[in-house]
Amino acid sequence: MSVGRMPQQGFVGISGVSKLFGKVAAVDDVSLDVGRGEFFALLGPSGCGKTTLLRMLGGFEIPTLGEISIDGEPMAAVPPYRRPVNMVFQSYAIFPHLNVFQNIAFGLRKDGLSRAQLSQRVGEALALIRLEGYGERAAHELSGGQRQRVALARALVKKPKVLLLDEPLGALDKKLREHMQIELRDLQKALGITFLFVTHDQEEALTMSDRIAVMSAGKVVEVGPPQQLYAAPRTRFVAEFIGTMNFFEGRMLGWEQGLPMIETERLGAIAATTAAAELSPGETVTVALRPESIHVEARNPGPATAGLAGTVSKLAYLGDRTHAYVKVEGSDKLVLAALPSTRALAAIAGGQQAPVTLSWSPASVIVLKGPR
Amino acid sequence: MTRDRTSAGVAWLKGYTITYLVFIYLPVLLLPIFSFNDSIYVALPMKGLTLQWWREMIAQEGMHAAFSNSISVALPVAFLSTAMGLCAAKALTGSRLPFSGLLTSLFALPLVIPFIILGIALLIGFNRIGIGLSLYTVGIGHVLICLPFSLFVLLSRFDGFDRSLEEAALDLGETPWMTFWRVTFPIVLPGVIASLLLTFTISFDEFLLAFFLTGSKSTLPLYIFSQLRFPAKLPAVLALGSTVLIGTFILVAIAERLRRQEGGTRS
Amino acid sequence: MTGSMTIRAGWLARTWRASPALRGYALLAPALVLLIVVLLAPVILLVGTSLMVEADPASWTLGLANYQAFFDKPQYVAVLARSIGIASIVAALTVLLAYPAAYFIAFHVHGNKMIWLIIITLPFWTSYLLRVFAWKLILGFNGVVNSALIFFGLTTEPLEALLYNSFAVVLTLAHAWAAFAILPLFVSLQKIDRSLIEAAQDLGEGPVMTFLRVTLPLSMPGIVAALLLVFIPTVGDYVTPKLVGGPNGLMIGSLIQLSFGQLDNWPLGAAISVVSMLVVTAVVCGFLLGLEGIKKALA
Repeated sequence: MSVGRMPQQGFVGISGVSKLFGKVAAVDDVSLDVGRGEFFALLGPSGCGKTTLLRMLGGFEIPTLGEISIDGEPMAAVPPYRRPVNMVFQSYAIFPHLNVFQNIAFGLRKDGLSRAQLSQRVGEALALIRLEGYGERAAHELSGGQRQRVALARALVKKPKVLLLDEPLGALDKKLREHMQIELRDLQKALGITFLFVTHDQEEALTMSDRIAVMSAGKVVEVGPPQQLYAAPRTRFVAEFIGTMNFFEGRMLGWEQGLPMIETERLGAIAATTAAAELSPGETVTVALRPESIHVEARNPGPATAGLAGTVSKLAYLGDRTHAYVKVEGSDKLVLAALPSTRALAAIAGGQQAPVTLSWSPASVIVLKGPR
Repeated sequence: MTRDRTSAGVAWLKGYTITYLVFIYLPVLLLPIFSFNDSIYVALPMKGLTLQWWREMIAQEGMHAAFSNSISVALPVAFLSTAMGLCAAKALTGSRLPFSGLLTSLFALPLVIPFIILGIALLIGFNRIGIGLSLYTVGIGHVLICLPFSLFVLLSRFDGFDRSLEEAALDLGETPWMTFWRVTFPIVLPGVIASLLLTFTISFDEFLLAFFLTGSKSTLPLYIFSQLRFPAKLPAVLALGSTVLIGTFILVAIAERLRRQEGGTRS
Repeated sequence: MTGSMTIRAGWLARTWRASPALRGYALLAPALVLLIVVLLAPVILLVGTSLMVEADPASWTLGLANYQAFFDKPQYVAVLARSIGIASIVAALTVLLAYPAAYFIAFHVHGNKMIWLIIITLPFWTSYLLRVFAWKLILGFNGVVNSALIFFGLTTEPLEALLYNSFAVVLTLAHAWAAFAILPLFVSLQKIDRSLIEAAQDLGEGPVMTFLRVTLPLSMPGIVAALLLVFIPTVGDYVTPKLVGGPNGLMIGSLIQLSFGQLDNWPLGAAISVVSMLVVTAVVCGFLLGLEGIKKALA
């Protein structure tokens, strides 16, 4: 979503920023505005430029083009050690030759605090991350999760205006990660500091952020709150990247009773409520359906009365949910439907090769411009 | 971890390795052993133990002068080559330099050229420029050959160095200069000390370059060499040699421990 | 492009900060300068000196007369050939002796391999001169070996053939350079993925064949490195032939020293040095090319 040079409005203003390494543009003309106190995510696959962008915010890379400002102040000539920004590194970068207290106190040396003040500040930080009493621990004695929290405390104790986090939870195991996602969110809300974090895990972005910027090949593809990006993505890339999706090619037919009708390759003519008004009849579109919005019912053998007839080709049991891969008549590509396992038992009693009917509400149909 | 060989095979290998070890240590241990021998011949059987030669060694004037000469060369050489090696190691590992592989190999050059040719080339070089031979010229030659060792010791120390530690320090408000002293230097310190010890030892023990490049003053190896012509002086030389050997041993053992600290199986 | 004030100092500071490569080269500079000034320049001077020919007393031109003087003397060329020969034997012997020990430490020491390596390499940091001298004591007429043999009644007369010949030189050098061989061999063996060996055994090969077909080929880089690391410095060695070589064990290093010392013929000495370096380079290249050829033939 590049809109060229815009006057900086956001608390963190990124305007027309590009970073070139030789001829390769790692970041390509990106403009974003992050509001004060926002929990903002940069989401994208590896190599999309999100980390480079983060490092430019931190001052570790210098933009080839464009401007960055924080709280109204341009950051072009400001080195990392003078920015009101602190970063939690992907490897946590805990100083191995210092203990926990010294690590957290590291950035406070210049402030000239007295011993007592220092102790107090560090103590507060330790309480914040719930590692009270860990001050004397050596760096190598900490677990992965503890190191992450120490890195967090070390950055927060300096009371920065913006906190940058580079894949903060990547190295943690699943349970710990989910726990920390909630903790980070609560922490951010309590402190009111702007958090900007980078991740390739879309679930993480959906859980924690107020807004997400999805990036690909150096550009920002879409920006929006999690619900919007999930339920109503405007580009195929985002629709595919976030969550799983079924895609079908289609052609606009026209409007019927106020609802746009689309002829699709396999589903026949379907109705949708969320197609943009600017679509014209005959235009090629892509129709997208989330697996969990597809309703599955057992079918008595024979043509379907309402909905689409198909047979179950594969079942994947995921504990709370079951994925059903359904072969629809007239096509060889499978439709993925996700349903709660308890329902699956009832609907697909026959297991494989069971005849089923698929149906969905027009409201859950997502229409995207353009072909695949 | 292979259990392919039968235990007999492993036992053979172990026996061989221990024999090899003995082969390596035998000549080295010879000197201390026979320095106590009550005879000017190094022959079996030993004739008896005496401290005579050790007393004789300590008394020799020439030895004292040579010893202090060696120290006055080795100390500056150690510091200079370590400092340069430190800068070079940091540059080669940290900065995404183009040709870094080539440059690293370039620094290995002094070791690959036979020392005698190195000595000759330096001799000619100094002669052309008009610098007279002295301990300074010896020192320059020594820095040249110590630099690769310093570099390789420090490179292995910098190798596992997490660059984000420096970035974290910058991020937390320290200038690059202070970052070096508060973060980088403490972490590579074992490597620095190892390099100092190693380069000191190399310079202290070095014979060939000193032989070619010195003026009127002798270093300790040169002094030892000059004494080898006198059979009667032999045991005293053994005593001196043993002292050098043991001293070197201790220094290098410490250096190796430091260098391989938390290195695990990295060599 | 930016709104900041661009004074010249500001531009310089920005470029400095923007280019880690620039900072890197600056750090590298002292060492590089040393290398160029103290190493490369003298070597160039060395080559230059070798080309200096006395046209008439007190005037010099450039020419190849010194090289001619070297090749004209068959005994000189013989010394060079012997040096290459001895160095090759030493390299092969050293690597052969070191390989089983390196293998043992890499594969059969399950604790702290470092300790073994440190113990093995420690003696090599001590004075080279003293170690060579120790061999002189061991192999001498009245030396340890002879006196032990006599003492134990194995011979009545001391053996003369131990010292002051090529044998002594080879033995001493094989001892002296052992560490240079062990380290690359160990590193290379250590790097071998153990699961490759297990796969070979799984496919039916016994221990000896596994070694020949898997371990040995995979350790080739280490073997080559070890051979070169021993060969190259050995050719020009001066101390060992001087102390234990005798007339039979004369090597090119002694010849070079002679030219600069007694003969006071620096250009000749320089020419000999250059010839030695070129020959060594040629031998090494030939060796490496030969290896490539063998590899291709076997593939």
